[in-house]
Amino acid sequence: MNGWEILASFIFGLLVNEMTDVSPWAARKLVRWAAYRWTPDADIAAGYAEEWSAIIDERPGKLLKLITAVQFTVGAVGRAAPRMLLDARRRTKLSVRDSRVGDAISDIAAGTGLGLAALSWSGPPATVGTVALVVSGGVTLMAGLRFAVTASIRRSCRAAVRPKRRY
Amino acid sequence: MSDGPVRVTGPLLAVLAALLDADDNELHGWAIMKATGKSGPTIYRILERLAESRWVTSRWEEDAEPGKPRRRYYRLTPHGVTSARDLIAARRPKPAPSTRPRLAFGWCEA
Repeated sequence: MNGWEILASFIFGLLVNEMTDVSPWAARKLVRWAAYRWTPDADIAAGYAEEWSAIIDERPGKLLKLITAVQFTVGAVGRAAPRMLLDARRRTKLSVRDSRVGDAISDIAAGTGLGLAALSWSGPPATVGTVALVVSGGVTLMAGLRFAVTASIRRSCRAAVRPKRRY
Repeated sequence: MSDGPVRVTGPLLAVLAALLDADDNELHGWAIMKATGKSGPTIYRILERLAESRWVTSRWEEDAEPGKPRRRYYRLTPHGVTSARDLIAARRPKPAPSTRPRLAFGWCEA
């Protein structure tokens, strides 16, 4: 056994010792985290956190404490996963709705700008009716443009995803 | 109030048997885990179902050392005791029919 091997075994021994000493603390932290994933109700979760910490204290063996905590964590994550997925989907739907509202606002703004630019370019002062007509025409034009561009992008995406026919 | 836990599984029967065998039909979470040999999440899912069905009630440990987390005890309610006994009796495997051949007089050859 050379000097490096002796040093490596010494360091490895120290690491293992440290890990086993840290594992009860890590186990307690893990079960607390797991309890709050187990249920969305904060009061019930606090109860489970205390109860599961008591179980960790009672479990003999430092590594066994950690294994028990990991079991609770895996169970809690398995239980929380569908709920988290649903939340994420709901959030995505909201963001899609938000983006649609944003699109409409930007269409109106761009259309108004376009209409006003057209009016100022045409020169003579216009009546309120003409301004409204030109602005609404601009908004319609911008919305139509957006719809046409979005539809063509969607069509090309669908064509790219669709499997090719084999004869 | 629902009549009982919807799904009757092996771990559910094991938890019920452990609670029925306990003094005063009461055990804490770790004791149930030890008695049944099932993992924590399995036990707590079952205990939640039993509590929803009002077969089990729970209470916190009263004489816990200060600064230490308290244990929670689970006890079968009177309704839970009778229902659990019925369920376990119904699910107990029936004795297998005797495999010893019944010999009819005059038909067996020595």
